[in-house]
Amino acid sequence: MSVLPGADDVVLRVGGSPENVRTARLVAAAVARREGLPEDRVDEVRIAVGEAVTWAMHTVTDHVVELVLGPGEEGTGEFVVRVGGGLSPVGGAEEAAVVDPGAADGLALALLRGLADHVTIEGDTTVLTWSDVP
Amino acid sequence: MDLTLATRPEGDRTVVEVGGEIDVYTAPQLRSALNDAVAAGARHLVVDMSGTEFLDSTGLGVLVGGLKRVRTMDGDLELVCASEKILKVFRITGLTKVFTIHPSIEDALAGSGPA
Repeated sequence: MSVLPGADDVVLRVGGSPENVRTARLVAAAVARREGLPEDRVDEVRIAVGEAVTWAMHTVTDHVVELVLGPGEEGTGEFVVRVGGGLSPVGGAEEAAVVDPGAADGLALALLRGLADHVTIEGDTTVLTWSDVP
Repeated sequence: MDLTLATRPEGDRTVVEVGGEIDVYTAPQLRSALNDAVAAGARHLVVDMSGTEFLDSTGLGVLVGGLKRVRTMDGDLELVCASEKILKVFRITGLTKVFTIHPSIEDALAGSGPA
């Protein structure tokens, strides 16, 4: 993923251990709250970002997942989260844990589509957008 | 918050109380608890999610797996959940049609129950 973060964006890079998914959820909720999303939508962000990070952990080749979170382009009233592959971990990919999503893939996609206002998947990057942010 | 699990018998049912966050990190513990209950002979499981604060697709997958497993043994797996936040996850994924979801443990245990 090669996105230059804007001044208001938050960038987070996590290794492929499943316990990092929770950390990513906490950061996503904090940024969503800062951007003025109401609490019920903060919950949507929390769940959807967790799903996208879990998904990325088994689709990106190096198991390092990068998130860029922040307002969309000026004036759009959007909150945008990009989740995709980051840089390779020190020591190589073979040391990274592999998350087994099992049969959860279809459920994960249903949650992404049901929770975010707009979902696009470009290569190994998932872009989640929430509109009408106050 | 991590996951807390407690299994207890209630008549011919087995109640598995799940507290905290069920996600890709903690779901294997829930899978083990359900497997252990079934291995100990439980066929009619009630998963009490009254204390559950978060549920993701991996957790849903474990619950569906548990349901499928006990159904092959003429058993069932019912849920207790009153949290709107978590019920929404079941609704979005269409799983409200798959699971019987009770608003309270009293309601779950008072139901007609297994024959």
